[in-house]
Formats: sequence, structure tokens, C-alpha cells
Amino acid sequence: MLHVAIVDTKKINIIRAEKFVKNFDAGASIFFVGNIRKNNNNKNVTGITYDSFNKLVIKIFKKIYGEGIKKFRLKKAKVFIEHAKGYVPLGKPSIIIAVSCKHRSEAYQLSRYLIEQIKIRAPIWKKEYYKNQKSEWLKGTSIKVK
Amino acid sequence: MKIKVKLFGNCKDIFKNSALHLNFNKKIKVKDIRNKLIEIIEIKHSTNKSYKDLIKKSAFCSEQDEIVNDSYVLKKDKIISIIPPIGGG
Repeated sequence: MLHVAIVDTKKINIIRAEKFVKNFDAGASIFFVGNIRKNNNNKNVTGITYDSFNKLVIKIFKKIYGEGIKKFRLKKAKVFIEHAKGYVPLGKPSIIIAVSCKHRSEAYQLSRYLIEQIKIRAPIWKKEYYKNQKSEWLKGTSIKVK
Repeated sequence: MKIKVKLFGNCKDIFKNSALHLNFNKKIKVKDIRNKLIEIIEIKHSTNKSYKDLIKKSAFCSEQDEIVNDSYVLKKDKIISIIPPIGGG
């Protein structure tokens, strides 16, 4: 069972994630929250604006979920993925991935797989803002083309 | 043939828009769009090498939401999206 969305930065919160992955068949729930951190490449970060290609991001989130379920042979996993779009200030969350599975090992594996794949496959971009009033788009990783 | 190129991330800032509308006389490939964008950058930002590099490193996405390579021919597509290097999470 899967929930995926790109959401306004003010709407992203872990409570909905907890409700979604609540599962009496699951002995383990893992919550990954990606937050805006203070320092990146020796620069004082005050916030990040996220841009995204929503339709393609949703398609890729679903594809990655399907791959993860197959890879780890999971039957009753519940997964919640939401990514923020717009400006996210320092310390606030940009992504929440919640996973519930029968056992902890598979919950950890699936959660890790999802975030690592999102990082290299989901068309999302970051523009960092700094204390010195400057800003820049981060260099990122080129999407693999077949 | 008129093509709308949807822009994301840094490309929005480079072209100061969320989309570009390009005209071509013939059926075209993704490679032609990439070259056209590089031409525009050479005119508007001739001193900025990093902008050209960004276009060279970018992928493209068809109207059917598939990542396509430079030899992809735009037959029915009226819209194509440029996907500069990504970095979410």
C-alpha cells in the first residue's frame, strides 16, 4: 500500500505519515525525515527552495516503490512518501518517508532503498539560500539516459 | 513545427521563464533542441560557460513522461521537458 505526493512546504508533517503506515501486520515502522541543515560546503544555509517536475516525480516514486517491494520480497508493507515543493526554512523537513513492514530488517532496507533511489532518480532541484543573502542552485546528478 | 520546452530548476533562472517556445522548419530530434538551447545561451550569456555545461549534462523528457536520448525524434510531441542534473531529498 502506497501514498506518494508533492506537497506545499507548510503541509509536510509526520502525523499523516504515522496514520498511513499504522499496520497491525507490521512489527516495525521506520520514519525517515530529511531536514534542512545549517551548513553545506562551508556555507551558512538559511533555507532551500525545491522545484519539481511533479508528474514525473510521482511516476518515479511509484516505480521505485514497486522495485523495492519486489527486491526485498515484501507482501504487507505500507509506504508513505511526501516531498516538499517551494521554500523550506532551516531545520524544517523537505521529505518524509515512512515504512511499515513485518520485520525491522526489511523496514530498514526498504526505507534506505527508497531515499537512495529518490536522490538519483526523482526530478527535484534545490536552490540554497545563505546567510550572506546569496543563493545558488546545487549542481546535482545527471539523470541516466538509456 | 512549434515546440514548447518546459524548464525546471536552474533552467528557469537561466531563461527567466518556466517554458520556451521554439520554431523549427523540419521534424527534429532532442539533439536539435539541446543545440538550440545552447545557441540561445551563447547569445544571451556568452561569458557563462557553466550554463552551456548544464544544458549538455541535462536529460530530456517526452510528452509521454519518458526520459529520451538525443536521437529521439519528436513526431507527435508538442511539448518536451529539459531535466537538468537533479538533487532532491
